[in-house]
Amino acid sequence: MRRTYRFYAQLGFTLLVCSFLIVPVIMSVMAGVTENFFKGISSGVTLRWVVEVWDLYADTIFLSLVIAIACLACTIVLGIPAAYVLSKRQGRVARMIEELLTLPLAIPGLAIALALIITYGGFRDFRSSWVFILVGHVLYTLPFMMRSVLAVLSTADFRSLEEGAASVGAGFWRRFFDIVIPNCRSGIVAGALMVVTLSVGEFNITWMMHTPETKTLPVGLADSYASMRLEIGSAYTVVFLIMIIPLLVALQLYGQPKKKQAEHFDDLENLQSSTAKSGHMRSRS
Amino acid sequence: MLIAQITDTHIKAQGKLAYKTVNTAENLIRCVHHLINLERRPDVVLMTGDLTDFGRPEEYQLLRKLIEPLEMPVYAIPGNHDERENFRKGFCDHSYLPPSGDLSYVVEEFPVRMVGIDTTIPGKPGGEMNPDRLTWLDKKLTADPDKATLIFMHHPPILTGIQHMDVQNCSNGDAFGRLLEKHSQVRHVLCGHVHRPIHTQWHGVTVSIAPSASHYVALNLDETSPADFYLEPPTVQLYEWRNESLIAHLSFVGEFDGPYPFFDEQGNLID
Amino acid sequence: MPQGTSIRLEGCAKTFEDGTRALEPMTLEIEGGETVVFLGPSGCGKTTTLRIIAGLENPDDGGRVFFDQEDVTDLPIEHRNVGMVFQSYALFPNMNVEENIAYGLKIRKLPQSEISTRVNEMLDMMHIHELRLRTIDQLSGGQRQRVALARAIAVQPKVLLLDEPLTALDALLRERLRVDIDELLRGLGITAVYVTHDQAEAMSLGDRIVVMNRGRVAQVGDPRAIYFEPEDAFVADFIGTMNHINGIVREGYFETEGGRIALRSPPEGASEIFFRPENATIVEASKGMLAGRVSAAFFLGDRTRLIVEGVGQEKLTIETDGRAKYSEGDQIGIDIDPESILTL
Repeated sequence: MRRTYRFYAQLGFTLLVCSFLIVPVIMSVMAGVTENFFKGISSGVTLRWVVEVWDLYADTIFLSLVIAIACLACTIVLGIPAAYVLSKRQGRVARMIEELLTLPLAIPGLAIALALIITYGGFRDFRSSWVFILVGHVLYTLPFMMRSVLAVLSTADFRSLEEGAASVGAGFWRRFFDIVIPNCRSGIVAGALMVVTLSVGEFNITWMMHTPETKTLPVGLADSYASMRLEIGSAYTVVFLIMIIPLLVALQLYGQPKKKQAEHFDDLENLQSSTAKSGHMRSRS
Repeated sequence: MLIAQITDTHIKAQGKLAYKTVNTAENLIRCVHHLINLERRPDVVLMTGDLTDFGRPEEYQLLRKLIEPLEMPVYAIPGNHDERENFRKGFCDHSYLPPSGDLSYVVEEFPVRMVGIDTTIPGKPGGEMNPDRLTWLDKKLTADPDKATLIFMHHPPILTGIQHMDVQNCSNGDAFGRLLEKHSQVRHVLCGHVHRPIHTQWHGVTVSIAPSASHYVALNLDETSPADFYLEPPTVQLYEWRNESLIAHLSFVGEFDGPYPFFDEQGNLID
Repeated sequence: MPQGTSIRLEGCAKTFEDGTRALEPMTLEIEGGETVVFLGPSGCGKTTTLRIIAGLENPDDGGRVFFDQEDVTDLPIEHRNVGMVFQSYALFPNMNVEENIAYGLKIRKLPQSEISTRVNEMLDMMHIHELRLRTIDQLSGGQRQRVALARAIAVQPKVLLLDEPLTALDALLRERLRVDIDELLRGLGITAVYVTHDQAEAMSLGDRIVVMNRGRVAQVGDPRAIYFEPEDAFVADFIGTMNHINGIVREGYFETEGGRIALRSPPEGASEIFFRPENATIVEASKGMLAGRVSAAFFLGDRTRLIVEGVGQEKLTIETDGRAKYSEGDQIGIDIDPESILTL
């Protein structure tokens, strides 16, 4: 296939657009590992900024991870059963509930945070704990888990599978754990990666809801840019990227529904004798 | 009495494909069911090594499950793909296997005496009849010089002409052969390893290599033969013990056209 | 194997949430060990009936389902101990063949050795030993169907329910598997309820056939009764090929465009008679009860099928000996065996 002029022109354009987005990131990373940003790369490459970030902000990084994992746990426990129930009921009520659960995506994060503060701000202990932020994260990421699982549950002939399991005696819980969950694994994995990625990177809601004791990674990042040297802020970005890029790659790899090689198993071939299939019979005996 | 030799089954965990091509588990299932559905069922089955592909415990577990329908006695010895201790554990209820050391033994219960020899060298593809094994064999054969005997082992002591297999056969074959000349009660040596049906005369005994019911090493008698395999029609080797000797029969596994008669009801040749 | 659980439906009707009346009240007795086939076009209610027997649907208030003497109406499917084969097989993609077959036994918490024995029995019965380690996506349609049957029978169900199990397969395979299923059902002696829209399948498998149309039972009977004595025009048309001739009864004859036929006891006011292609013979043009014109001829090897027009409003299908040759436009005479003429 000869690569045409048009192909290269399109490729060039795409690369140009990408570079527009990527170059700033690269520059930021560079700033985080250079001795002196204003002198440039010639001043030497160093990890001291990254180390300093670790010393200053290790606890926020841990908190981000803790919240992300807790968020994942919550969305799994809440989201999978919700998706399951929604997939079974086709009526208007089900559709309405689905819309309701997806609402947090449409509302600006700041508004959600404000709503939560107004409602629960009075509970002092709750307000100042990381669980408060967790609630915001769960509200925001739950629709992603649900959507992901619901997509898988709607494609495979799930109703038939469940009836098949019920016909051999499986009750509700056995069907749920033996049949439903294993077969929507790809949806759960894709949803999980999305939830963790979103939680780690979530800023809008967390910024409004945080206290000095409950800072997450993005919030700490904003802080460092505001109050510290550029190099520290950039080094913080480096740490952030190190955490998030593997997740994004995993999302790409495992998030796509697998295209199974549709092997054509010819029924008639199976009816015939097996010796008819000795395709490589070039015997010289 | 009818003996069946199942060899080189190369079972992989969870029925994975061997060499990304051969479904060895399914081939074994077909072979086993072929044997139990024969008009005359074998009285005993000898399994001559390379029974699993990597000698892993889960492979032995699957192997045992797949040969379960065989109700007749089964005697197994390891090949270079097997792992001695996992083999012993996988066949822990086969009481004829010694509790330690070489997995070699003698089976006395049948009209023909059967000696199974462990020819494996851990970690190496080839085998050997080392002095210890020769001493052991000499002792066993001297103990009963009158009863007709057959030996079954994994690595053949002969050269087959298939170069890449000959380099990994059973070494120290000359000493082994001279030992057999001394003991005239040994009639036949059954081997595996080469995945082809091959027979020859050697030091006064017949040596038979049995094919695998799975895949065949390419029949390439050129000196420069590459190590290839073909998916030729699956077969299993049967031996009938009759008139003090073994008659080898090759049985094809599968469904074939027939039976067609040669003669009609009046006894005339159908033309 | 529990021999012959009988099934009884009493006044079972079904109306769905959106108001569709899928089934009119049905009362039916199925004997233990019998194979009953529900036959009809799509939407006739046959699958709904099967699902009510299975326990996947509840009949409308007042309807009851009995297995032997036990009222199982309020039992969901998982407690009815049925074996069911679905049109789409519903095999579990996350398990291999032997795990699929063993699943029902695992649920019943049987000891592993018993499960192994039973699974081997099933693999034996369906001749699918070498497939035991395969996953479902590695099976062809015919193989899936056999695994589905094995899974349904493994739990030793009281009744076996089959929902169009052969519909998804190609014609050649369908015919071969039909024989296998017939052998299987006879060998097991189990009560079986089979749903299909294919009348050849129904005729060959069923001890009795329940012909359904638009939620109602049109006729219940053994295959011969359904074929030779259809009770109404729908059943007559649905099973095999049926010719219609319109006309009027006059002076003991049925008169039509193409001629007239003497009827032994012609019912007054009958405006249509029915007969099957194999009950008519072709004779010389002027010598037959009826006269018509060949509009198409199909040589089928053992017989010739003729499409004949000019006898009534509709074209007739007549079958005759394969050796005679006919071409379009030929004038022919038709005699019909008077015993086989139906007025419905």
